[in-house]
Amino acid sequence: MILVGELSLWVALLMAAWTTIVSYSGGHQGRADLIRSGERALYATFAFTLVASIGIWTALFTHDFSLKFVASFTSINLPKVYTFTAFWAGQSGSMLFWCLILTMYAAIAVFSNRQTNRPMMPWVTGTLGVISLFFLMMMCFGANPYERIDWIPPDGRGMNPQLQNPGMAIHPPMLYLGLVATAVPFAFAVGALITRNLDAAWLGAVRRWALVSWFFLTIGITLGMWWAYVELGWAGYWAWDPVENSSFFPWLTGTAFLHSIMIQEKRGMLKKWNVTLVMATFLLSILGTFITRSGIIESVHAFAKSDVGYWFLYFLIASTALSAYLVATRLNDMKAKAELESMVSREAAFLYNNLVLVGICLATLWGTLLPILSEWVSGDKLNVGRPYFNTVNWPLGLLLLALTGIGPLIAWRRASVSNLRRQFTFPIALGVVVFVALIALGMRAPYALVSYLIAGFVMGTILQEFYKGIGARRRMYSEGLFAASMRLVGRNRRRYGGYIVHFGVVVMFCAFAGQLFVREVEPLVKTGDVVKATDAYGKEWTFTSQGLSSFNQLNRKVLAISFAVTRDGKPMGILSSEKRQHVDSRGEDTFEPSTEVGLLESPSQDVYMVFTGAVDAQTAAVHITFNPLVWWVWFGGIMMAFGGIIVMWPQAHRSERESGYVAEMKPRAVPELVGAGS
Amino acid sequence: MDRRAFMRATGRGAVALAALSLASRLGAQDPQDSQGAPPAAPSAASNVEMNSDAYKKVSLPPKPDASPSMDKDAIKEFESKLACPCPCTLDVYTCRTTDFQCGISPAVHNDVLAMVNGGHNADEILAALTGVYGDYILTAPRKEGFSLLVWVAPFAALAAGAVAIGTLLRSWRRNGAEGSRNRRPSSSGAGAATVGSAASGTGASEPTGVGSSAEGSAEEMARLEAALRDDSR
Repeated sequence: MILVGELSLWVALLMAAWTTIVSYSGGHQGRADLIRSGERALYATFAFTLVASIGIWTALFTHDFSLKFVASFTSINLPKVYTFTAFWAGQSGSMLFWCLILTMYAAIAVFSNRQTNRPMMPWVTGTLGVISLFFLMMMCFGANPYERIDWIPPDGRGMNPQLQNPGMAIHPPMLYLGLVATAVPFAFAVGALITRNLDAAWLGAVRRWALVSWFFLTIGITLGMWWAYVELGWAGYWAWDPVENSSFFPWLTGTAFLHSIMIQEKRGMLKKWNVTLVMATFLLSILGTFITRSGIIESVHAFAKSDVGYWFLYFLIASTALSAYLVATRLNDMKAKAELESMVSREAAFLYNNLVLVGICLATLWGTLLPILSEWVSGDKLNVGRPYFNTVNWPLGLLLLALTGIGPLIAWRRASVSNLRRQFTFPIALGVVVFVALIALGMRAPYALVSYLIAGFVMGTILQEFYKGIGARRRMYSEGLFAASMRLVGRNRRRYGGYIVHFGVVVMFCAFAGQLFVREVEPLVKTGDVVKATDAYGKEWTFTSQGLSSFNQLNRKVLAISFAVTRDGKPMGILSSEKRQHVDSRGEDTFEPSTEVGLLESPSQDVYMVFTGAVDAQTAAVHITFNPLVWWVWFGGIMMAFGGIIVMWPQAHRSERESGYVAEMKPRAVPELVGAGS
Repeated sequence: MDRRAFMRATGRGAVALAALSLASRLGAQDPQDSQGAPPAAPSAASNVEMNSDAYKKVSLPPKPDASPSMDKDAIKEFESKLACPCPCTLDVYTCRTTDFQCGISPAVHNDVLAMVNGGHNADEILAALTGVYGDYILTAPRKEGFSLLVWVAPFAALAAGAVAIGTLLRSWRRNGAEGSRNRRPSSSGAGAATVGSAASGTGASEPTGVGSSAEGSAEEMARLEAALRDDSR
């Protein structure tokens, strides 16, 4: 099977080359036979890439250490689940995994459009073929997972302990599913530009794929935050590390696109901008991959530096040049008669939403690339870390949050003053109530207060939208509260799914603001020592050391420290943190010692402990952090993903009863619904 | 890679790991230890290859009758502004108090402590550190001189974008006003009559030409209907 897999990789390469040649030729000459052949070749590319992937999995599970990839990232005693996930633990395997997803997406996209968008499909197929060809070439000639070593070691090196974590098992696939999905809208954009079919027709297919990308990126980024939090040990979940930022860029532009596409759908405007965003999202995915793979910028979890990164650089340059050429030569085809009745309108709110999203993206990109830019320009390398990103992105983030609440309150085209007053009254009131309540409770941190004020306002908007929508359904269809709520979301998934996503965003911002109230202590403790500390809520905590203990566990030797924890005298359980030394099947140490953090989680705060190190046989250094509201980061991520599922879920056909309700409505029956998400 | 090279690499890795294991168990990262000597061979973060050249000794002669110039919290705040010279991308304080098996951040910490105990204030210590490492030791560029551009650029770009959008919206509004004037003769009564077609959600079929009457108007009704019938597509 391993040999079959290796051969399949080369056959997939040939199939991708064939896909590209015949699809473009078919599109150019209008020959249906070539177009059909190209599509079939794309399916074959996926099939052979799948076989190549199965070959690698076979090698991993049979411990075929003659393969460099298997010997480098697994060992005989590696748990089965991580033997499976080792597929994407290293450079070449992760490239094959990336290619597997890409060809799978490409096959789905081509198959689902076998009856639609026919004029542009040869170009879409060809473009997906080119991208697949690039990845397959890179693997075959640059980072081949089937590369062999000329002797067979008795055991492999094993997997990096920090990758032996459930979060890291799921996080990369989710991220890849998101990043790779940006290729499909890009291919459609290329197809639409080449064939000059730039009206709303191509947007339907693109929007679904953009949603798929956004959905998986959201999950992937959130899982990455969770992994960093529980595994890296610095008590935070986002360090503005270049690799983290790399996944954030396409998420930001993808989010901007999902908003601006509505303007094109509703008003036929922003064609150029939407095409640019689609292309930029894909190019940023490639840029991020280049940053990650090349090691050009130092990162705590960048993959090993290798020349593979430069394949991405060349591909990025070529793709950018092609994109710029296509857009520049089709500008006249994307002209639209843009009309607006008022500066205060949904269109304007969406434009500013796009500005802030792209602004955050550019500010983050600027900070990420600055170390190399400064070195090129002045010869002195500048360091751009968390202070820069937090200082710049915090106000932009709050602005974005405010726009999240403002947008749905303003009607398309224009809004009257009385309409605005009525729409904004409740959300603003709720924001002010939250603000005053927090001051009354003793909160004084200005950034936090502003954050919660805006969060209250946005929550007011969301609640108001649901309240009005449910009320309207109850009046129109005489439905009960529950049925009206469910059907409101079910019948208007895009709108109310979007509001659920907004809710997740609000929750996340509230959680982010909790970071302003972190408390920490770093004591040295001997067995029986008691550490006392006070959290941000004023609660008194005691940590009584139970001492150090050492034991063997699975594929590791463990040195642990435990504390009996109380809060205001009430027992809260045992908190343990471990130093782990992983070993191979012969008991030899592999990798560096790693730390397993101790965590007491609750919605109000996490108590997070890191066993920094043992000073001697009796004394340990620990770092205890009281981390408010972190639990809500994960909850917010789940809500965003849940909202994304609702938005993506295929819409059922409308019932006849609903389609005829117009005649039942009487003017002024529901005047409060002005601008309600229209 | 040939067999010999593989063996060499494996051997080097095994020696390094053994040293690391010993260092982590015995030396550890003691945040309270002000006298610990810098590690002879910096250890490695779990997945980051350390560069032994990254650490550079920085010292200042103690002032006469010196007393510590900063307390523990002030040192923590000060070290939070220093980037660890290892590739972890964290600050010195965070790096030395976490999982990372970094030998560099404790060494920088010891240098800082020595200078603090020597009576030097934060500015003097920072000058000594940047004199050796350059501004790369700072977690963020200074807000002065050329580096100020780094901070200003994103906001300047945003302001430029806001102005551009404002200009764009004004031009759209002019188009809208012209379109409104052109359509006015035929637009009366459009609201209720177009309610059904508005549900399609396309701009072309939305009610147009509705005047300033707002609450409870046919336009509002159309918007409500569109809102609830605008099924996801």
